[in-house]
Amino acid sequence: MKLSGSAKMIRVHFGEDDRWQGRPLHEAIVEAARREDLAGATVYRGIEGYGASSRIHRKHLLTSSDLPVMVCIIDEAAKIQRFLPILEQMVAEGLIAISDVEVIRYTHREE
Amino acid sequence: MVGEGLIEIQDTTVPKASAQAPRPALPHVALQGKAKLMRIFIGKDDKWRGKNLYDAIVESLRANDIAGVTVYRGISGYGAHRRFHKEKRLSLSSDLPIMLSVIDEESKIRAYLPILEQMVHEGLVVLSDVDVIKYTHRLDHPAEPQERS
Repeated sequence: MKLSGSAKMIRVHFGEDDRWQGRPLHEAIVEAARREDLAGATVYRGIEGYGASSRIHRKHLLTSSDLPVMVCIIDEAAKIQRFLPILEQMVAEGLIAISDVEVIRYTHREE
Repeated sequence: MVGEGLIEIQDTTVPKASAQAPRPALPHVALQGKAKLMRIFIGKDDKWRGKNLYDAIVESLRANDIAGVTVYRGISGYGAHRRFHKEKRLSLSSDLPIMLSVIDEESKIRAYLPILEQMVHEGLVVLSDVDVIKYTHRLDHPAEPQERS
């Protein structure tokens, strides 16, 4: 698979405790992205933040922590567009941001 | 620009040496307005000449006087060759996703690309436009550029 030139990047922001059909939402999104054959997805956990619900995401020692999570997905515009309805269904509360990116290099190692 | 590019290709041998040599003081840099944000997606276990690739890239960015870089470690994901990166607490080797975020003027980012291409054998490099609002550079503690989007 080779991806180059102009592409789209989705960033989905939500909480680590958010769930989709009983499992962590970030896991479900990455799996959905694989199933839809998107080029790649990465999950990042923040250390503090606030978002859609104005609840503060921060790690507490004694209480439950709902840290901010961001999933980053990059692929060509058409595939990103096809994936959006699926994503919108899964993200009940959160933010989806799309931006234009220029892909410089992407190699597929033969195994 | 081509001349500079060629010189910097030769500089790719520098990063390892620069790790040992005392670092020259970086000139004060002020970035304003339009800039490029370069994100480099690699694996935590990727190596370059025996050291961690992300460390090597950070050092080579410094050696090439790029304004700033931040390394992020992801908790899971998949990428260039569909290997699945996932944090496993008991596993000895877990190749987590790493993302380096680099911001500087477009010409400097583009001049750096040939060097990066030599180092990144598999991975994704993406560029996007950013407006840089504020940038301070302290010589004793090199600051990271702040992206507001």
